[in-house]
Amino acid sequence: MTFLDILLQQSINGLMLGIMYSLVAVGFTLYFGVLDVINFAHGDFFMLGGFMALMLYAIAEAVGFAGNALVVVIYLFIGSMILTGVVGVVTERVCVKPVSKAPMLISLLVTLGLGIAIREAVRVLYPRGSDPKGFPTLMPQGSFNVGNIVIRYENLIIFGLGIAVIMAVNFLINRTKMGAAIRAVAQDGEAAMMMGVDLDRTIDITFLIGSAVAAVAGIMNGFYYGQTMFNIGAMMGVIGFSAAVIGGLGNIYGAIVGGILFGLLETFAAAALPYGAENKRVFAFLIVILFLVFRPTGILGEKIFERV
Amino acid sequence: MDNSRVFWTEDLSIAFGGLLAVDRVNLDISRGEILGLIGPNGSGKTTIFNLVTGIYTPSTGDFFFEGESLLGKPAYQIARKGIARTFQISRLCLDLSVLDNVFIGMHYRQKYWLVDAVFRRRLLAREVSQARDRAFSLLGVFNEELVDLAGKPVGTLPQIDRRRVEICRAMAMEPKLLLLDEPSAGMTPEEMTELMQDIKKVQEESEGISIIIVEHDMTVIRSISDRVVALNYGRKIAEGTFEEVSDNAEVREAYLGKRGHRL
Amino acid sequence: MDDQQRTLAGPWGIIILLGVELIIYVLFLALLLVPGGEILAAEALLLVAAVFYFRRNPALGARIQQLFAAHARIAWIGAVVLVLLIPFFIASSPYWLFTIIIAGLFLTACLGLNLQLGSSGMVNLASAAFYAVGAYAAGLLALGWGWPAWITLPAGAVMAGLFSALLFVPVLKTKGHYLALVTIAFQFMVTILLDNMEWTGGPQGLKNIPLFSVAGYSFNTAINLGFIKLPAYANFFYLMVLVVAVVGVASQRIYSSWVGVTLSTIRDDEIAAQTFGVQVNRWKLVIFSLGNCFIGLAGAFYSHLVGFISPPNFAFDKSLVMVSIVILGGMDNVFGVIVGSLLLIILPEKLRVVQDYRFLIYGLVLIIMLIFRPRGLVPFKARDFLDLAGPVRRKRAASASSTVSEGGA
Repeated sequence: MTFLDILLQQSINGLMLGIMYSLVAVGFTLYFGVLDVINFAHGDFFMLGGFMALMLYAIAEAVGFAGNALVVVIYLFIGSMILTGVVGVVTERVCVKPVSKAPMLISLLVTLGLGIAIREAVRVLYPRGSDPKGFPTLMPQGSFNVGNIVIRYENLIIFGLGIAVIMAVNFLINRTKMGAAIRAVAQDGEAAMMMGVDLDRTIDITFLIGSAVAAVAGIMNGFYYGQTMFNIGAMMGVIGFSAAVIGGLGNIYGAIVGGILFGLLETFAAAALPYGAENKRVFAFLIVILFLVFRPTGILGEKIFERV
Repeated sequence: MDNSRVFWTEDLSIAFGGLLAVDRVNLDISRGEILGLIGPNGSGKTTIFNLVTGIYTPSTGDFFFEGESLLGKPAYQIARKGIARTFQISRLCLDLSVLDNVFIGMHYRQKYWLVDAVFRRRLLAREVSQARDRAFSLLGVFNEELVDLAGKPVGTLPQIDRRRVEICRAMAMEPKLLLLDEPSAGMTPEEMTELMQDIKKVQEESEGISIIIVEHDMTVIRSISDRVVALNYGRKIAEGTFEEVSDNAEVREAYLGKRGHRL
Repeated sequence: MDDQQRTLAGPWGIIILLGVELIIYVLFLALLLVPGGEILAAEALLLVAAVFYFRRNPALGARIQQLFAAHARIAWIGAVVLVLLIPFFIASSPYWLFTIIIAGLFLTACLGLNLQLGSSGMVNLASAAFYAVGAYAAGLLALGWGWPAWITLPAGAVMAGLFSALLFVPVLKTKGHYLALVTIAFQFMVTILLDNMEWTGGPQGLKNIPLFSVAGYSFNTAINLGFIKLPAYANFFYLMVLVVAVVGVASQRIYSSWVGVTLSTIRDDEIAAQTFGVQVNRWKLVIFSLGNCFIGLAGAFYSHLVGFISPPNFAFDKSLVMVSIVILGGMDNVFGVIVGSLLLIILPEKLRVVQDYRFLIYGLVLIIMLIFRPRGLVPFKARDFLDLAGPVRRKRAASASSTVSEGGA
């Protein structure tokens, strides 16, 4: 393999991961927009999405409906998105919105506590929840070559799916009336309310979308690695938040760009740096910290003046 | 006259994203003078305060205090030279007691440090009792009742007393220049009259202090200021006695266009 | 009313006061010594009942407060004696003694975190990372160079203080959510690195760190007093009490001084603080480092207490526990941090009865508490060392400070 091949291969791997991170980061950005809250439990919705899919698969198997792989995959995604989305809305109503006006530390800790609760609920309630859970093989296996670069069918499908979801979210936010409401609330909640936007409903919908999209990422993650575990949410939450911040918090495109950038950073660090494989995230987080210090508004964010 | 100039600005300007919020403003104030700063909303009054207290850095221009340029100095150093201010939207620490809030005004005169805090309690006790006496006498100038409320959190006080505490906090610094940003905001006319008398009292008590006061209420400005500067769109449009400024055609236009009533 | 006050000032007042302290003490010990979960449920009910009772009769609560204020010195002496007697009463259960020591270490660390988070408003979600720095520094120095524990203890603290410098720039340049993210990222970086570096022992961590011993006396020996035999942990317990006393008195004194006023102002409004001549940046760095020193001290102690440390001991969830202690206990309030550490370290141990569910319960309780009591169990009160409202309180202020100075000697 030539250097260029390696570069390309790593880029593709990084993109794969990056798309997944983007899907999580989008939630952070949306929530920050409408509620000014960082939902540190968001990573656990990512995890929850994977487990919901596993549960749905178990149910499907039990009733003997595990025939056509394509149908099953669609069923898993849609079902998990709905279930996770509903959990997202319920938790938003019960514990995220009530603290959104509280000091930042309180909302921070409440959402961190929510993360613990979700994680532990999955561990305790899911049969043998402490163990790693294997994901079923439903995607076509095998791979094809482009030059020297190997591309697995499964990854290609996941990649395409991720892109599709991102485009759908983008469409929802930027092209529909509902999205206009979300954008209006993100700009100025009170003004939006006076213009006739139903604030509570808009917030609910935002959390529905955010959680559902995180669920998609969670299932993608499951298929990609072939397994999932109850405790992967905390790290993913930090990665998603980092990605949102790198891109510019509050900006949807920023979240996407940030997620992909984080994925690329990780893969290249793993490939290029000494001891990179184990310490790839150390490197990625270092970049995040540098970003926060030197460009806290992210790549696509605008400069904010503190009002005095 | 030039000798008595305590503070002046030279072509002070700042732009926010292409918008000139303050545009080549020249101000000066003499010892013991009260300068009124007026202008419609968004004309750059508060921004000037933020510039000369070091919260913002001017894009161009300079400002001088007692003959020394303070351009580019951090806010805490400017404060230590003797410029104190209040804020348009009160920036008291509401959870802290009245006394604590006034104490922060004395901060930089205390030679006290972390190690002393832990190991030299007697020194602290002595300093505290001195500081408390000073704080009480300051608070007493405004309102004897404030002294009794000194241990209460500021958040429990009515608006007018909060303003007073804020001015006390600024006065505790023993400043040579005091910047008051809309001290009467959110007050009833009676409270305003009271506060104006308070401010006059403050000036009498501390000889030679200069005051720049930003105010929307023209009765306040008329009764209190020696001289008035009017701003519009970040530029100085008039300067002189209250009567001169209020007769100025440009000032009238600025106000009529925006607020729809005569001065 | 006058009559009552006179009674309170006299010997009866002292007896009532010591009685109150004793009741709390007995309830606390009963919680540890009575096996099973029923005692926890019973005491929780009692607590709820007491809270409601005091809500309906605020005068009674106020009188008890006055009582403690009037006899602050005796109250302190009583409390200290009771604390020092703890090992005697729970000599039969070293496990609980160990748990109390751990609570004391968390208390030490959280007093440091409280300086950062509570007093100055700097979010630090990397406290477990600095705890790790202290622990590993002490462990490596003891293992590699054979330094004795009484040197490695302060060395761990200093090392954690020095490591703070890595975050100096972010601490000054970011705040709020962004600082939270920086510190979380740092926390993850440290845990990952500890896992991957060889010289820290990788995932296995450090083994066989020598336990405390001073002048040939190993702390790992049981104390035989003839009439009673105290478990070896009693040694550590008394050392822990000493450490907590030093750190606690220092924290309380910082709080009730000009420095405390300055820090509060920085926390509430940085810009206002600057316009009054406060060197905000300098104070932030000093307090950030000092807080991490306390955390590192606790970490170093932990090393020499258990003799074996590995990366999972210092993961993100430990940071979360520390932050919850400070926020649930009550920010910028030393007493609150004490209450918080006792509750959050000892209660989960008691909850072992429900084994699997305890972290779930922990998360839920955290959420419920924060939604319904966001200012913590012992909320921040306006500083009262300067409060000279009435004669009783004046006396209290005077005697409180004199007792504190004794405690520090």
